[in-house]
Amino acid sequence: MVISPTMWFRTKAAVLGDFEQLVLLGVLRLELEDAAYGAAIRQEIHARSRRDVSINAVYTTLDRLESKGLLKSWVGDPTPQRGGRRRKFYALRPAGIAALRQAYRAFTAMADGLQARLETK
Amino acid sequence: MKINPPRFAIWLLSLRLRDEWRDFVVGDLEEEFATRSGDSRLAARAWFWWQTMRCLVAPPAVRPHTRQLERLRGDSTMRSLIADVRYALRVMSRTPSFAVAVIGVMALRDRAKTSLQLRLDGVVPFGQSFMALQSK
Repeated sequence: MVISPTMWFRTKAAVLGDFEQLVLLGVLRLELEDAAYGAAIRQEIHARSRRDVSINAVYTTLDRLESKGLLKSWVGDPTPQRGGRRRKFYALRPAGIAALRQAYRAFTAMADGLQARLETK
Repeated sequence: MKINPPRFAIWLLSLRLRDEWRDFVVGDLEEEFATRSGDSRLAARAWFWWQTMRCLVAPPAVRPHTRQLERLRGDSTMRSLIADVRYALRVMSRTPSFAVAVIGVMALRDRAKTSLQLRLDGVVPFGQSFMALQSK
């Protein structure tokens, strides 16, 4: 354990729900290609987790995560493929990466040694 | 040939969704519809309608921004009173049995209070009913 004068003031990363984790992971995967917008995140979640989520659920979660300061967003230009409609892109803020890292560590620590039981059946 | 998504569904969505979300949600659905209609037109339409239904039931919420809150009319006491009344009406509309119970209790309370007050003020003597007094 590290003893430091600021250890008591360190801000904790936000605790994420199950769906919030999926959405943030989707953003993390897609943001490198500048393609982290609603439909792409929805498809990514569907393709990898087999969960058929609705687009409104994705946007509601993205908006909540943005209000928590875990994501930032910007609006793209209208495109002809979408009938001249714009896209809203998202990217992780440092707080979002910290929250995701904490969730990942917690999950892997809890699952440690249980791979054999979890992967069978 | 480009296949268009159901127009009626788009019209419903544009009615239901707030300005902040309309472009993004409808655009996303149209984009995915175009991809899906390459495989099966019928399945793509079914998928579009299913997504539309889900959006109509629970559209993405609009976050109140500070500026919007500042622009709201009236003082905070009045705003919270109106919000309380709206919440009460919403709860009662969702649970009619609860509404009936509340209204029933309030009616009984008013009846008892009026009855006691009439007796205390001497309008109706104790041991006599108001109805009996009226019939005299």
